[in-house]
Amino acid sequence: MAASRSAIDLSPPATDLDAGALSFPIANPDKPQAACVLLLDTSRSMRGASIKALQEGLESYRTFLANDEEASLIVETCVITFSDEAKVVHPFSSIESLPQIELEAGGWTAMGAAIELGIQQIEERKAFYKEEGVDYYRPFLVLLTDGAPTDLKQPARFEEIASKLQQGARDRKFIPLFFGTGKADFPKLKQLLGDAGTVTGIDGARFEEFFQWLSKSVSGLKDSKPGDKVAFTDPTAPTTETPNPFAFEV
Amino acid sequence: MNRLRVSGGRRPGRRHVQSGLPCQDAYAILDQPELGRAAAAVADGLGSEPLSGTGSQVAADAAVAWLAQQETWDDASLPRAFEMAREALVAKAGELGVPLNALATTLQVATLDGRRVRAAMVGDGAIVLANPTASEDEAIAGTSSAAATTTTVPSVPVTVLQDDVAHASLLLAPPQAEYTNEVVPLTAMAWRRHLREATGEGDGVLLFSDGLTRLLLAKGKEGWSPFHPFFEAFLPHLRAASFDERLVEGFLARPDVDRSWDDDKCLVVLAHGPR
Repeated sequence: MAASRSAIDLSPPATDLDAGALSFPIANPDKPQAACVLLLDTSRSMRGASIKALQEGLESYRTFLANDEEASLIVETCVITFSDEAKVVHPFSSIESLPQIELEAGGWTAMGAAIELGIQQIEERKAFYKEEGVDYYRPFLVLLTDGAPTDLKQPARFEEIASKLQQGARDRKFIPLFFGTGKADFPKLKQLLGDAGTVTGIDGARFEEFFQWLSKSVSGLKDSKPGDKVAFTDPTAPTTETPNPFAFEV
Repeated sequence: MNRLRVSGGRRPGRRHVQSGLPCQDAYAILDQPELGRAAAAVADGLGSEPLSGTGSQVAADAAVAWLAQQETWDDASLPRAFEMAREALVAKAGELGVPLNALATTLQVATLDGRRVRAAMVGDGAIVLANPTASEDEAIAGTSSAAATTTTVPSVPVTVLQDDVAHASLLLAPPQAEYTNEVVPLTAMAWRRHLREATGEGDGVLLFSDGLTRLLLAKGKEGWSPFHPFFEAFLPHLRAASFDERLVEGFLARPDVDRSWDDDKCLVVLAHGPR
C-alpha cells in the first residue's frame, strides 16, 4: 500500500533508540564568516566629544559581539582609520582578538584612500576564506564620517574611487554602508556611492547606539538566508530586530 | 518484493528555538513498496521571509503528491514535480493574500525507482547516492551553477569498493554561490535556470538541507565530497535487521549535531533493504 507522510509536526526525539547506533561521526566545520570593515574618520573635525563618542561606540560594538557566543564565532572585524592617511589599525580578526583601540583625531580626511584600502582588505580576506574552504557572507564596508574627502579633489581620482566602489557593490563583492553625522558632506557621499548603496545620517552624539545596531545587524546574518535581500539593504528603516533610532533622512 | 526503508526528520536550529521561530525546513515522503519505489522532497524556507516555513511544507507536499499520482516516473517527472510545487506556492500566496516571495523556499526532490535514482534541486542543500554502482565513469555531478543541468552520474565510489563496505557519492552538490546566505529559491522568476538534475544507480538516496551540508559533506579545494566517516557508519544501518525508521530523528536530536551548525536541519533517506 502506498504511504505518504510529511513533517507537519515536529516529532519528538527518538530517545529509546540505541545511542550507540546513532554515533555516526560528523564533520567539524568552521562557521561561515561575516567580514566587516569599519572605515572610521579620525580627522581633526572629530576632535573632542565626537572622537570620544566614536571611541565609546567602538567599544560598545566590541562588547556586544563578544557577549554573543554565536556572533563571536562568525563576525570578523577590520578597523581602518583615516585622517592624513588611511591605515589598518587592526586587521581582520574575531571579536575575541579585537583589542580596545585608542582613537586620536587630527589631520585631513583621506576618505578615498580609506575606501580603496577597505576594498583591498575585503578582497584579500575573501581569497583567504576561499583558500581555506571557509564559507562566508557578503562582506560589509561601513564608513563613518563627519566631513568630506580631502583626497578626492581631483576629478579623475574622485571618479576612480567612485567607480571602484560602485562597481564592487554592483558586482556583489561587498555591501557599502555610508553614515555621516550632521556636518558631513552628504551630497559628496551620495555622489561617491551613486545608486550602489545607502548614505544614512546619524546623530554624532549617538555613536554608541549606532554601533549597537551595527553589531546586532552583523550578528543577525547567522539567521539569514535572504536570497538577494539582507538586513542591511535599508539601514534607515527601523525594525523590531535592528532598531536604529539614531538614523535620519539625508 | 523489495523492502523499502525510509526515514526522515527535521529539527529547528538553536537560534530559531530561542527566538520562538518554527523550523522552516520541511519534508515529505512517498513510500510505495508494492511498486518498488519511493520519493522524497526536502525544502528549506528562507529565514528572511515571514511565511517561508509554510512555503517549504507546501512545496515539499505538492511535489511528492504529484509524483504519487504518476504510474511511472521518467526523466521528465522531476521537472514537472517542481512546476507543480511552484504552482502550489503561487496558489497558497493567493489564498493568504501575500506576495509569492513571502513563501520563499528551496526544494530538493529525489526518486528511488528500482535502483534508478533521479534527483533535482533548486537552491542549496545536497543529494547523495548510497552504494552507487561502480563504473569507470568519472562524471562529477552538481558542480555547475546558474544553468539547468542534467547529469548522469556519479558512479565514483568514495571508498574502495568491497561488498561489505558502504560508500556514497555526491549526486547534486550545493550550488556554487559565493556567499553562504544567498540562494535562488523556487519562488524566484528565474528558478528554471537554477534547476539542476542528476541521475544514478544505487541502493538509496539521501536528501538534506543546508543545515547539514557542512556536517555530512567535506569541502576542499576541489569542491565538495561526502564526509566519508559519516556515510561509512550510517549506510550499514539502512540494511540492518534492526533498522528503525526513527533513525534520522535520533541522529538530528544528538546535541553535538545541533551545536556543530546552528541552522534548521532536515534529512530524508530512501533505501532498499535486504530482501
